[in-house]
Amino acid sequence: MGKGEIVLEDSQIVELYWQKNADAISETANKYGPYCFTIADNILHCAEDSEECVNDTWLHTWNAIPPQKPNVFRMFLAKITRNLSFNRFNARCVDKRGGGEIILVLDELGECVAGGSDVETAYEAAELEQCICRFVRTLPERDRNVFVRRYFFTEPIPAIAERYGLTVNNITVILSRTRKKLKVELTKEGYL
Amino acid sequence: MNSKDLYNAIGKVDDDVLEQSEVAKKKIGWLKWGALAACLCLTVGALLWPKGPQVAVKEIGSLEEAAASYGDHLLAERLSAPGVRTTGIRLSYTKGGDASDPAAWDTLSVTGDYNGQDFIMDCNFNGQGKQTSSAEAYAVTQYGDVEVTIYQEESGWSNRKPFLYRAEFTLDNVAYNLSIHSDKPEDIYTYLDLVLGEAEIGGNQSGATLTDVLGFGVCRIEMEEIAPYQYRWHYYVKVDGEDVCVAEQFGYDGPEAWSRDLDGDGVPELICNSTYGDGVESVIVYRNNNGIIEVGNVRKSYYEEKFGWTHVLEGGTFSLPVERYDPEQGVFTATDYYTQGYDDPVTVEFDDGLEPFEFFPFKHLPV
Repeated sequence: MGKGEIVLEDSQIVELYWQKNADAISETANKYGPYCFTIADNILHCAEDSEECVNDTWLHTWNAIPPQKPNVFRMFLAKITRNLSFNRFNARCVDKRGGGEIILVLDELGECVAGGSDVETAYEAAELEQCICRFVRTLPERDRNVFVRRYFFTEPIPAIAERYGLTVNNITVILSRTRKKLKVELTKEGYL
Repeated sequence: MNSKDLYNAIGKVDDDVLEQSEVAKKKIGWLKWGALAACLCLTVGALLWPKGPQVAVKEIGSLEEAAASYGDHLLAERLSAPGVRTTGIRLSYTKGGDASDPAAWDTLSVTGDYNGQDFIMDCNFNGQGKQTSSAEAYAVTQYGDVEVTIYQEESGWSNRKPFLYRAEFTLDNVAYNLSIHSDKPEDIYTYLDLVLGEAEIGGNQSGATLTDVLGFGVCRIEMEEIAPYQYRWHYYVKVDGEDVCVAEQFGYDGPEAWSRDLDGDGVPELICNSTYGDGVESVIVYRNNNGIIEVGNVRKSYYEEKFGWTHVLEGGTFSLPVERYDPEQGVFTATDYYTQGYDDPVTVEFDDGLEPFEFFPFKHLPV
């Protein structure tokens, strides 16, 4: 973004998509390029792959709007970027060790599903998503924010600590407690 | 289901939840000075947010000199608990303003010494020298059998939280005064729930409905928001007809405080799970020591002697374990994240009455 450039409001950018005006993509990239890159890079830990995922995000957004009209455009982009980046993470055939924050995040989430039945429990993905949405809303605001930064945005723990002015120690404790709560919830709901 | 399924499902969290995590600001807490910080609590005001005028600083040599300069307005006296030797006072005030006018005051820092331990305390002002009292009754609402009056005042905190909402009511002969900073009055109901709500929605919390503290009957309970989403609960009792605050609990969640007789003398102590502004979680215990109210933390030496935790890291960094009281088991827990690293925390339990604690005199600072 250059000095003196005018940054459009989100609603104006969405309107450009609805008008099928190609400026929509450049405006989105201008405003949210670094934001989406950070999300991708937290997952992929590779600038080249992350850049490609960000470019794919603009394409998916172009295809999705219309018919969609996102309420919170930034989060709409965040979800697409996260989804594309995670798919790429799953698909790429490179050594995943040392592959950034996502490895740690998945390990941590593994605690929530460990100890479940060895038999694959049949469930609907949509139901699980609803369960997670409900669970997140039951958390105190601070814990909810920390949980989302870690497990949605895949942010490193020190970055979360810095964001909220808490200690790394405290973030670790909050996450640990929240994972235990989530495990209880998943068990109660029959997912484990 | 595996961790990837879970990660994918988290990807569908609602937009407003995600957005809130970005809007939430860094919590600028007060300093933690080990045990003494807990016994001397401070007024935290609008200074947490940037203000327009710059400040000038005036160094004052002694409490006596400051008292002579500022007379009745001097808060340094209130910052000093019994037995504390004041070693320095530093007043910052609006540049170009009158240092003797409390309305120009920004912060007052007091350095002191208690039994050889150095400490610093800061007191912040709201730009008017004190809290204003321009409240008007905003709403009267019935909460079960309890009538609650809600007041709205202007708040100097930030544009996002332009009002102070204050709820007053009486329950079991205890007068309550709960206040929060917000842009919408309904937010106060979340905190009313802590006292008046059903248990399944977090109501009737242990620390929110105390009627006896340290052997006294509680006459008043106040809750104030001292930093965004951080709250302090004050417990008052009647002494010679006056309301006197004998204990405080602070943290981000509901008031986690329990009356338990830890030393078996027939007078219960008050155990508080408290969280400092920097996120450090500590247990704070209040006791009635023959009429003198004292507040205590777990001694560092207790951890050293009993568990071999030194708390001093390479480079001199000081670390504290995460402390909590488990009211169901009746034990204290401490988790050390340093000795074996974050990935391998060590948690211990202890139940040695008051032996682990060291106490200081408690002096409440009026809001």
